[in-house]
Amino acid sequence: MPPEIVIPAIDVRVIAPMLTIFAWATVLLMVDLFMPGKDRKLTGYLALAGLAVTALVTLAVQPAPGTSRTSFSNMVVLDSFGTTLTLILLLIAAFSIAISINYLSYHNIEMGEYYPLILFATGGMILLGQSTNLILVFLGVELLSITLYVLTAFFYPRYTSEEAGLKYLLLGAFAAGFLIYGIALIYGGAGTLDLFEIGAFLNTSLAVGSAFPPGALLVLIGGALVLIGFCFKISLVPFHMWTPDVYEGSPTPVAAFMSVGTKGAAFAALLRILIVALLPFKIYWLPVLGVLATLTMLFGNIAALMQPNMKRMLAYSSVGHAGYITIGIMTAGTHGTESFLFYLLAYALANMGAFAVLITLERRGEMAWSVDDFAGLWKRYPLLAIAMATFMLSLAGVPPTAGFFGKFFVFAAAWEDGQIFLVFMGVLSSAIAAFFYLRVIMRMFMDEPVREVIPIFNRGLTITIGIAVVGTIVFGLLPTPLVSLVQNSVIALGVGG
Amino acid sequence: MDLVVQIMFGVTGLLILGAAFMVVSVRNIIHAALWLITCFFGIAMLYLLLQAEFLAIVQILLYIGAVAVLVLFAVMLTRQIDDPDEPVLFQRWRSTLLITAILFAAVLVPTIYNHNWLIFADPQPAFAGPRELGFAFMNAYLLPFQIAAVLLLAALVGAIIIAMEDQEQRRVRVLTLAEEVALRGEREPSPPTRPANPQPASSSSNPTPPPAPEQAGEGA
Repeated sequence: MPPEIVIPAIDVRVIAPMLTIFAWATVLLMVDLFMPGKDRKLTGYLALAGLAVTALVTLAVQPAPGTSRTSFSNMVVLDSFGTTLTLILLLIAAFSIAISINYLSYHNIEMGEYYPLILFATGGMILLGQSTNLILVFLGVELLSITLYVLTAFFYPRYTSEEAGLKYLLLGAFAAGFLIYGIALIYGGAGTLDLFEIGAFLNTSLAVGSAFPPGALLVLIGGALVLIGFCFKISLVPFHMWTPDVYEGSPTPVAAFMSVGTKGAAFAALLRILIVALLPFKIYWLPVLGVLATLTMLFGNIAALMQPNMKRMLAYSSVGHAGYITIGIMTAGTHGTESFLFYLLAYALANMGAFAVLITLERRGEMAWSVDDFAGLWKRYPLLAIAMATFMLSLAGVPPTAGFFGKFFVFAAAWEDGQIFLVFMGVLSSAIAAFFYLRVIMRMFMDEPVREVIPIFNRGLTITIGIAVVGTIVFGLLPTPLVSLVQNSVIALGVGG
Repeated sequence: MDLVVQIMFGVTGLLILGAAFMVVSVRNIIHAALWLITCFFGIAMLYLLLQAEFLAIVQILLYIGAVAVLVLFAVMLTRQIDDPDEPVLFQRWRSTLLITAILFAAVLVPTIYNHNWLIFADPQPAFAGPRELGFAFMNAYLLPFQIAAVLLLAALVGAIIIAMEDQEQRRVRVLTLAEEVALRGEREPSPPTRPANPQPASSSSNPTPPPAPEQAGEGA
């Protein structure tokens, strides 16, 4: 009797990056168990090695420009967009681990499981960037979120961290409810969870007649709920309430990781959903996203203006930046995809660097997060002050930093797409934002020190700040290589295209 | 063949009823949990007799594998609940029994009596049995199936991290310097824990600071 169950033909190359990182994380959990002593730095270095191996694997399996591979019943796709995003996410994770290694032991919260959890979260982010099926999108969001709930509360001996973890968990569960309900409605309407098939269904059902077919209506409602679920994750106004509290309470490296990694991955998944599945509904989601982006940019930057606490200021500024990235994904049909990737990288470098500077000023138990602690930094630690000034300028979008080109590309893509109003609001809010970024610089260079703050340096922090400064300036002066990289990072619009 | 099935059904039914009775009547709560597992096993056997293999497996996996083990753990972790003087049945158990029996009968008897039972003469082809489900898991939904496993692993590890260590003891480790000093009942603040940063004022007034126990875990 012949075997009835045929093993399906699968292309392991498509999932090779996340397979590597998941396998490494699982083995690392086990290795960590048998590591002698209380010192867990070696686990951190092994996790960094895992990220490097994953990056090599990603480069080895990357598809030729303009082509893509799908496998696992067309549930995942490996296109150059996914590859570029994976590399950016791996860089973000590497920065986060590098600034964590000494942070954890300094604050007496060192546990070996921290690093595998970061790897699991990174794997979830990579999955989000590659999945073309709503089941996988949901699993990716959950993998990312559940890991981050734990990491947020990793400082749980401190009450603020416990509070942050609980807040994030409750709101995250709420958002997951919206997401899964939306996915269920989309399935009810379109009869499939595959993004390509949903797009095809909408095209055919909307082409039939002028009346709105009930299936398409269900998909529209479901799409709106999915959008709300994602808005929580990327903290667009008015779904941003949790952001400052969670960033302030969580360990600083985790806040840095969340502020760029989670946003990047969730935006990538949203981008794919909007462009591949819901493109026929562009007339509906474009104005909605435009309003959300405007509110987010204005509110995030105005709220950051009033913050004396640097960590909360960076949290609000990350809300504001989510607004700019939203403009990028709204115009994804034209040059939005490229501007999204460029902006993400520029923002990641500057934001990770700023958080790293924050860590150098952080004492055990007493946090030097006030803007006052930055006063007079130039006189005592000129290099640190210059680094922080670079990050602030890049976040504000001042040339010659990478942040300037990030904003420039986003606005250029929006202009090309005819979103003049959004460009106007973006420039306006950037001007508001420049005020509080420049205020930090002014206090560092002009003022006298308010109180004694002694920064801590270690290898991980120094290397991270160094790479971030060099990257920010080099990509600001010579953006061409990066531009050609992101220009080739096109999104796969069809199966095996 | 039919008689064998009838006999097995009877034996299984008696087993379930007996085990369920033991669950509520034994004194030791661990024994009650074990009897509960026996009861679940009996129900799984009933499912097998009804040719619902998948339900039987799920019953064993979920109810015995997860729920019952959870109950056992909860029982073991909550101490001091076994008081030998506490009566097993509380005073008005007869009237309670009567009321619950009447309510139960009021719902079930009309249902059973009026229900239009779909009894097929010959077994119908399965719509979605364990075979189809396994096939879907191993073919179309292979990747979500695996990712879900990763998700569960990460969630489990995270839950253990958050829940395992004694929270109060751990809180002591992240006290601020000021709180630490207050705990030791000292007047002068002890020097900062960073060795690269001596503060002359405090070290002159307090030449032999007590060693901070957390200093050992600190990295450079």
